[in-house]
This record gives sequence, structure tokens and C-alpha cells, in this order.
Amino acid sequence: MSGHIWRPLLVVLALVAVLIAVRQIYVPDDFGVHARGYTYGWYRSGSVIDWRWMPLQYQGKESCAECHQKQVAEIRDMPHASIQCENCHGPALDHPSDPPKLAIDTSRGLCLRCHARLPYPSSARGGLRGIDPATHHPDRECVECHPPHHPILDDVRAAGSAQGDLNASCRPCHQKQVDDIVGMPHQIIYCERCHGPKGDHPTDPPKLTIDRTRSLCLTCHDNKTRHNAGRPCVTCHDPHKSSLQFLQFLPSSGEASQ
Amino acid sequence: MMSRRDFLKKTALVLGGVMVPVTALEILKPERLQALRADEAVRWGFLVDTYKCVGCGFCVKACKLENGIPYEADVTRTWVERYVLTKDGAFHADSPLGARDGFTSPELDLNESGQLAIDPEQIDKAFFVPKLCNQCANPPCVQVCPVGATYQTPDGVVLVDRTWCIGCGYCIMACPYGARFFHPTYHTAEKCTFCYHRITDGLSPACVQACPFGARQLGNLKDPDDPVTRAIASEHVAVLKSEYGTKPQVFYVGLDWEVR
Amino acid sequence: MVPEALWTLRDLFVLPNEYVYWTIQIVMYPFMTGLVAGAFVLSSLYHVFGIERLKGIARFALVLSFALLPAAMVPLLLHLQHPLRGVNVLMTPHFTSAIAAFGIVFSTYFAIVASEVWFVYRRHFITQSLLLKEKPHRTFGEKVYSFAYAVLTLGSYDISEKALRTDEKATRYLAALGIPVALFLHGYAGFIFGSVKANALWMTPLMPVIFIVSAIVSGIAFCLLAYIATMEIRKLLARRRRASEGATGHGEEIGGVEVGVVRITARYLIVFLVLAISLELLDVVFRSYTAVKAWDVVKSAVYGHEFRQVFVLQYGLGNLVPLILLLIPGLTVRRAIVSVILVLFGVFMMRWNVVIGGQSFSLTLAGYMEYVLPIVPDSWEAVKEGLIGALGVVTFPLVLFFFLSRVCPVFAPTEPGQSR
Repeated sequence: MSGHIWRPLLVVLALVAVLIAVRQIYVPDDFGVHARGYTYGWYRSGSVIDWRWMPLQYQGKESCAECHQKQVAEIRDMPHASIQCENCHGPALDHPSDPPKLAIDTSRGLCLRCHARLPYPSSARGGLRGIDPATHHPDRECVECHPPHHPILDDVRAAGSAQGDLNASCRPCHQKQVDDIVGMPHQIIYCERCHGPKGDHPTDPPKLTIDRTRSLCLTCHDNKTRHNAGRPCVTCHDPHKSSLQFLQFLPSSGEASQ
Repeated sequence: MMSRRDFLKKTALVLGGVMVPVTALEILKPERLQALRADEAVRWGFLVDTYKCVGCGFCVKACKLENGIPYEADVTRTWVERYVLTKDGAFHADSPLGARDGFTSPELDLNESGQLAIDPEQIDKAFFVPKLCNQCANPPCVQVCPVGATYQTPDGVVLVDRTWCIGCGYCIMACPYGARFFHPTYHTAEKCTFCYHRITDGLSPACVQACPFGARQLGNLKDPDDPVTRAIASEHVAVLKSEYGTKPQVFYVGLDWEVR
Repeated sequence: MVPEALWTLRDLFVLPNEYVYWTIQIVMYPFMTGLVAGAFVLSSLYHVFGIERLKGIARFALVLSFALLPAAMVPLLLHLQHPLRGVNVLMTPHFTSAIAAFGIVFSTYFAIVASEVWFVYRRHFITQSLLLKEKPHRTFGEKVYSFAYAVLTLGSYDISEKALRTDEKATRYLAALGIPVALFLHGYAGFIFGSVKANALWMTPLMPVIFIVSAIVSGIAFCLLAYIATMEIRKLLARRRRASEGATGHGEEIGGVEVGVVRITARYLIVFLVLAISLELLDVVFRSYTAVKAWDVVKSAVYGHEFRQVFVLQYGLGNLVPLILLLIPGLTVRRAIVSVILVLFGVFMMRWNVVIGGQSFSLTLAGYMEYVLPIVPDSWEAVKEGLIGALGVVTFPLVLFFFLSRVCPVFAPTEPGQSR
């Protein structure tokens, strides 16, 4: 057999040798067959370590409770207690080092995840109270009326007040104030919450008090503790109007129009 | 005196001859053979309760932020599907953006076919089904990877080596559950990892932690006292697409026959 | 926005991660390797079985097959998200995956075809090398050619009768060895799809067989088409040369396409075409008869959105019409050209309908996906996985073939005294 017939084969073998030599350098040493055999365990074992070292983003409620006891206490007996803080406040990352402050998501979309009413039988969603997002104050943020940490507003309704028609006993004389507040976020609050128990007014007492303290407003608007601290909220904000409107409060407007 | 040809011939032969045992030594290293016999005390399993899921999508959002999946990209490691079955026997289902923003409308998002409004009076049953990678015991995605970029750890989690994946997409085609996709930034195959970086540190996966209703639970199937293991053993549970023989390790309480 | 969303339209209930991931390049790859395998088998029919009438096309088919091989790599490189890591398939092959077979099969096949080309053209390399070496003054181009030919001789200058007979023997063995390897090259491509149990359209044991047979069909058709084209060009060039040189032409009369060669090749084409059609129909009949869970959505995809691509373009224009044209007695070259172009189109549509058709319905079996081929690109992905990429893949082997035929001439030489 002539010598030349094997030359192509030699070329091929040389290329294979080059491939194997390159392989020694190119393929990491920890690449091979691992625990689950060749079919499911053919990999670079360093990859597992790469995955274990991925950075953590979410810390979890327990870590928030270390510093934010007030909010935790507020939310504890509420339906929202089972929601992770970071669901609304974003992942804590390395908070409090970085970032020093977490954002608060006040968008409608966040609340509608659960509270867009979907009347589904055979799903827990059907049991969640909700609204029709298209008709229920579509231009407002939910948190303007509904404080997320204590969504149940029972504590702002004084005991014994009439249910049903909005402030029925106050409306006949104080039509102007009732007209002012209807359509506003505070219409869900009963007059007595801020003006004290009615008693036998107008006979006795002839004039009801007006609680103008910051602490009253902060019961719901607890995100404003650092906002103009020391000043009564009513200096700038008319409680009968929208909380986002900056109006000078006129003390005389509390009097009866008749 | 050897001719040049003979010299070249002999060198080639020697080199070739040496390559063979060197390669063999690599494949038959003692440590490797040792690893083949490793016995893990943990086998991760997952329990999903479809009765509890309300479709809020907090799990999807948490997963994206925890695992660095670009928020705007329409791909996700986990998602929630909505099923609405009506009295006329019709089947309706959707998963807008994988439920990244939850389900905030009673209308179903049918992609090119637009929005579908369904009369609530006509609904027989409607529910939500969270889905994620099933970390199968016989993962077809691992079987078809041509380069060994995806694999299964001894504790049962299927991972992808981002430094080795060539991006052929065979594993994505091979997954019957649609759990895989291409990461928009890394351009390698991507999938749910049960938050491997968290669970190996004793934390819960981001989706399990984020769920306010306890619809998702992670457990150790090798621990008989684990609540997940006990639930699988004592309650009526199901898995997705068992006919493919993939042996999924995600179990569903209340899995309806209409679920795809 | 993920790149795949650029060319995927989703309808009804589709899982969030479902897109058309395997696009035009994955259609091109089996199409190109099919041409490779088919061309090689055609060449081997002469070298192994000694079918004399195929002699004229055998050498041509071999070089074409060799030119198509690197071209077959291109669709894969364009498709991979990390093309430079493509070498990982050779470095750490995972043989449980059909794609891993690619590294070994492709390399083996490459080695076989390259070796066979070497044995066939060895004498040409040696004579050319010696000729150029003897030349006293060489242009730069001639120096390059001289070096190339010298390297291509692989150090052997033996052109004795004995050596040439050994060459013939080696060619025969390699051609014989190459046939099963060529079949495997395409069978494994079919296995890639047929073994994916997750895809209701792909999963069938018939897939590797269908792919092999249609590859042979496309290879024969392509060779015939290229043969006719090249012969006509040669005739045109010879005529022009003769007209400028005057009436004293020497050597053989360039007669252009030989109808006999066309007719015998067409016979083989008919046989394999019928086989391919039968297998595909068998698959469809079985599916509709057994009507498993996925059948409803597959049926609505095939008979609905994909009807034009499957029945009109592939089965109709691509299979039935050319079969009738070829069966009509008295086959002319013109009719052969039309048939062969339609056959190639049909084979392309078959690849398209498998790859894209398999992704035309969702894993939910309650949704659909439509692939919109990017024509005017607005991103690099749209170039790679769009019309421009596809056209590039088709033209590249023709360019390669042109340059290859400078070194390995594909037609019988006109110099007297040389028989091959």
C-alpha cells in the first residue's frame, strides 16, 4: 500500500490531538460527571457555588420588625398583617445601609392586585372585598382614603353614631359643611370624630369642639409625621376639602348658616 | 539518521498515544467517581394550593426583583394563570404579563384577540394557578443540553451555568411546562431555581415569602415531618402533565382537570 | 422587550415564556445539511455503484457537497446566542442530546468528504504544483496558487499508475463509508425534532426517516439544478470564446446539458419523492386516526392558520405538481428545471412547516403563535434571524463553490491524454 493513502487520516488525527490539547486549557477542571450521573449531572461544579453566591434582595418581615415596631404594631391585628412589608415597600436590599430609605408604592395598581373585585366562586379571590376600578374614584390613589397599615376604619367612627345617611343629624343645620365634605375623601369620617360627641347640641352644648391637633390627623395620615412637624395640619389643610388642596382654613366657617 | 518524515510520523504517534490515557484519567478521576455515590439529605419539593391563590401577582414581582429578571421584559421564572369556566362549557384562560401586575380586570387578556368580557353570572368556576419550574426528577431539559450547561444538583434543583450555555434554545423547546426562556441580558437559558441562593441559606424562595395567602410552600421531601411532605402524603394532590414521565416535584392541591 | 417578541404574534392562551425561539435559521440548517447529504449520496452512486451515466455529475456533486458543508455551519452560528461558545459542543459534548452528535458527525463527515475530494483531485494538485514550480516568473496570484497546491499535495508527488489506482480504491471506500455517515448527518437532525416529547407536532419516530428521505430528495434536486445551470453557463462561455478566437476550436464540442443525465437523475428523484410523500402522509393519517390530546389544536393549526404553508405550498406546489411534471413521459430539460425548483421549494417548506409549524400552537393547547419573518431589520437579531440572514446562508455556499472550483475544477478537462 502506497504511503500517501494514509495522509488525510494523519491530518485528521493531528487535528483531533490539537482539539484534545486545547480542551485541557479551555475546559475548567471541575467540569465532569457529578452526583446525578452523566445524563443529569454533567456540568461544571463551580456553577453551583456561583448560584449560591447570588446576592439577596428581599430581607423579610422579621428584619423590618427590628426597627419599625410602630408600623408592625399598627398592622398586627389588621387583615394586611399577612402581607410582606417589601411587597409594597420594595426589596430591602441592604437597608438601612443601602438604600437608607425605601420607597412607598402608593399607586392604585398595587391595591387593585387584591382589591379589584373579581367575584370568582371556588377561589379565595371571591372572598376578598373589592371595588370596580373603572368606577370607584378612578382618578385617585387608594391611600388617600384607605390607610394601608390599618385599612379597617372602625376607630374613626365614634360609638353610637347613626349609620346610614351621611351625618343625617348634622345636615339640617350645617348644610354648607356637609355639602363641602360630600365627594371629598373625608366624607367617610363621621363629624363626631373630629367635633366630639353631639350630645344634645344645639341645646347642650351650644357649640361643639373642634379637635385641631396633629395627632388626630396622623391617626390616618401617619406618613406625614415629619411633614411640617410642630404645626397643626389645619393651618394649611381644610379638613372638609381634599387633603391635597392647600387652602387657608377660615375659623369662622364652622358656624351654622342659619 | 531518521528522515524528517519518519520523525514527524513518530512524534505524531507519541503525542496521539499520550493523549488517550490523559483523557481517560480526566474522565475516571477518583473524586468524580466518589461524587457519583453522594447521598443528599435534602430533596426540595414545592406545594401550591390553588384554593388559596387570589392572583395578586406579588410572587411574580418578588421573583423578578429578587432574581434580576428585567422588570419590563415579558418573560418570568414564575407566573400565575387565571382560569374562567363558564356555564356553556367554554374554556377561558389568561396570564397577562405572567400576572406580574396581578389581575386587576375581570376581562381576560387574549393577546391578539384582545380583551374578553365575561358575564359574572355565567361563571361556573374561576381560579388561579401559580406555576414555576417543576425541578423534575427526570428533567428533559437537562437531557437535551448539548454542552452540559444545565444540570441537576444532588438536592434536586435544575440550574443553568451562565458561563457555559451557548444559547441554542434546545432546553427551552424540550420543557413541556414552558418554564424556560432566554435571559434578555445574559442571553443564556434561564428558569426558576427555587431561589437556590436563598434556600441553601435557610431562607424561603422569594415567591413563597411574598405570598400573603400561603398558596406557595417549599419543603424537603426527604424529611417525613416536613409540612409539605406530610401534605403530599396525606392530601389529594396532583402534578402537571405526568404523562410526559418527567416526574415533577411541584405538587398542587386542588388542581382542576382544565388546567393546562 | 425580548428579541423573540419582535417576530412572534401570540393569540388566545399562551404561556408567558412562549415565543417562536427556533426561527428561519433553524429552518435553513436542516435544509442546507439536506443538500449536503443528498449531493454526496448522488456522487457516491457513481463512485460506489459504478453507475456510468452519473459520471458527468459525480465530480460536480462531490465538490458542491464539500462547498455546502461550511455553509451548513453558518445558520447555527447565526442562531446561537453565544456563537463563540459553539465550540463547547466539541469540548464537553453531552451525548444524551441529539445536538451533541452534531460535533462528532459533522467533523467525521467533513473529514470523509475532504479526504475524498483530496483523492479525486490529488493528481490535479500535483500536476498544477509541478507546473507552477517550474515557471520562472510567477505573478503574485500564481505564487499563492503554487503554495496552495503544494500544501494540498500533503507532501506526496506520486502520480504513478499504481498510486492512481490506489486513489480510485480509496475514493470508493470513502464514498461507501460516507453514505451511512451522510444519512446519519441528516437522521440526527430529524432526531433532534422527533425526540422532543414536549412538542406535539415534532414527537414521532418517523421524523428521522422523513428528514433523511427529504434530504436525499433535496440533494438530488439541487445537484440537478446546479448541473443544468453550470453546463449551460459553460456552453455560453465556450461559444463566446470560440466566436472571439475564430472557427478553429480544439477539444471536445461543448454540448451543454446532456438530457440522458437529466432523465436518469430525475428517475431517482421520483423514487425518493414518492417515498417522502408517503412517509409524511402516513404521519398525518396516524395522527388523525389516534387523535390524542394535542390533536385538536394541531389540527386547527394545520388546517387553519398553517393551511396555506402545508397543503398549498408544500404538498401541492412542492410535492404534487413536480411529481406530475416529472412523471409525464418525454422529460425535457426545461420541465426538469421547473420541477426541480418546485421540489427544492417543497423541501424548504417541509423544514419550515416542521420547525415553525411545531411552534405555531401553544403548550397550553389553547393558544397560537405566528412567526413573522423579519424582512426590514430594526435590530441585529432581526438581521440574523430574518430574511437577510437566510439569503446570506443561501448565497454563501455558491460563492464558496465558485472559489473552490478554481482549485478543484468540476468538469472533465479538455486537455488530451487525461481521462478523468
